[in-house]
Amino acid sequence: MRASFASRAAARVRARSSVEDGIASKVECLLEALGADPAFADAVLGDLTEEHARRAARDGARTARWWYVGEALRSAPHLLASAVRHASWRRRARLSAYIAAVLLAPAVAVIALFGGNGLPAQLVADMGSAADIVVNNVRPVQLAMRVLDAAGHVLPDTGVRYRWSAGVPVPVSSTGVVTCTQPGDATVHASLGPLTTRLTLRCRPVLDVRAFRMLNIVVGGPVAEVPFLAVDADGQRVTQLRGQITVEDSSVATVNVTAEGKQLLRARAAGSTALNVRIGDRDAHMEVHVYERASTPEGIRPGQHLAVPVQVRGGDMRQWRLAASPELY
Amino acid sequence: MQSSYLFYILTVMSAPSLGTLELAALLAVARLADDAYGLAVRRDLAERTGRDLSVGAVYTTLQRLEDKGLLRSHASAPIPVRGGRSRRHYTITGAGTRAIREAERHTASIWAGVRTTLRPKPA
Repeated sequence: MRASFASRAAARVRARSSVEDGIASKVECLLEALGADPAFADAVLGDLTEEHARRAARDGARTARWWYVGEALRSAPHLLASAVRHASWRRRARLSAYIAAVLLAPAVAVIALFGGNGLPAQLVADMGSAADIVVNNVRPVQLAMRVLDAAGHVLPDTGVRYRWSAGVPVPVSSTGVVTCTQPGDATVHASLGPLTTRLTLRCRPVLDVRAFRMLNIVVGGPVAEVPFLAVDADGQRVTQLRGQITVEDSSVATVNVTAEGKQLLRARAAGSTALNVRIGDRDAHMEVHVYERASTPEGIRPGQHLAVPVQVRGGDMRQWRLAASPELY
Repeated sequence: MQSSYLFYILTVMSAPSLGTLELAALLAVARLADDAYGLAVRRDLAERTGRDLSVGAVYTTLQRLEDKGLLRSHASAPIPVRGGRSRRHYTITGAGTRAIREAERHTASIWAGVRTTLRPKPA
């Protein structure tokens, strides 16, 4: 049957219509790839060509071409089924594998794109830098690690285990709960299956955060660091800190972090807000009053949030006439 | 020995079962006689059943009937309008003729006893 299929090739080439030059050869390749019986494929392609010619004369070449493509695609599953039914068991297994691959490919692609992550490839500290973790807490604190695959996707933490290995003896549980009972550096190993990462735990327990109760700043005035002091159990200043400074109303003032890690307080608009400083498990609160700059103090009324910069030298005395305050002010 | 005997009994006694499409295709081949090839069968089925079957579906059905021994096929000489390909003509075998009769008998026996008012009017 294969021989007769091939022997008619010359006659076929002579008689090919224009549509066959492009589409039919592709369909023929498809049929061959599907493992269709050559005689069967010959009959199907012959019918497609004959009907195409009839439709081209009746409906036009464009419509006929679309019909040809659509019909070839519609026929493909039937031809595949026929190929599977008539093939040897070995070819059947191969075809089944192809079919399974074609059917599973979209699912695999979707999983890879949207949920698909690979195997854990990296453990990264989720607090502090990659290998250094500053702990200012006095109470026990949970260490956190991010599990990443080779492409950098975050995977769910399926049980990272921790153990203390060197440095100041601080209790570290296997689940990563650490208690900084004394200041100093400790080495901790975090592991997940074959992955292991060494972390330097910088225990800097902060017992108190001291800050001004009230801060007055002027819009357009000098930008200054947030004035607070973190001290340890001995009352000594702690310099390595890990915490958070938040402003309740960011339209009044904001805190910007510089490249050196300095927390700068910047006035934005006249008003009052509160500043919260949290270091480890200790915190401090400050009232922040922001004033607009005025040229003279005369005429300033209470509650206007206006300020006048005044320079006085030793022995100088200045007097201004101010408006009367309300009784309750 | 016993299992071989049982297999023989089953093979001889059970006539190949025909689906609706298979029976329709078999009848189309019987109707078209010498002109029964894929495209003609497809047109005949479309006219009578109103189903627009794909070329692949028609040939798969014809091939299945051939596998069951109800049809046999032969290739014609190459035809220019088919791009130099031949037509595959189908003819009904003796088993095919028996299968048609059996199907007719089966249909008649199913309809037996049903009141004439329920029966579809002949086209």
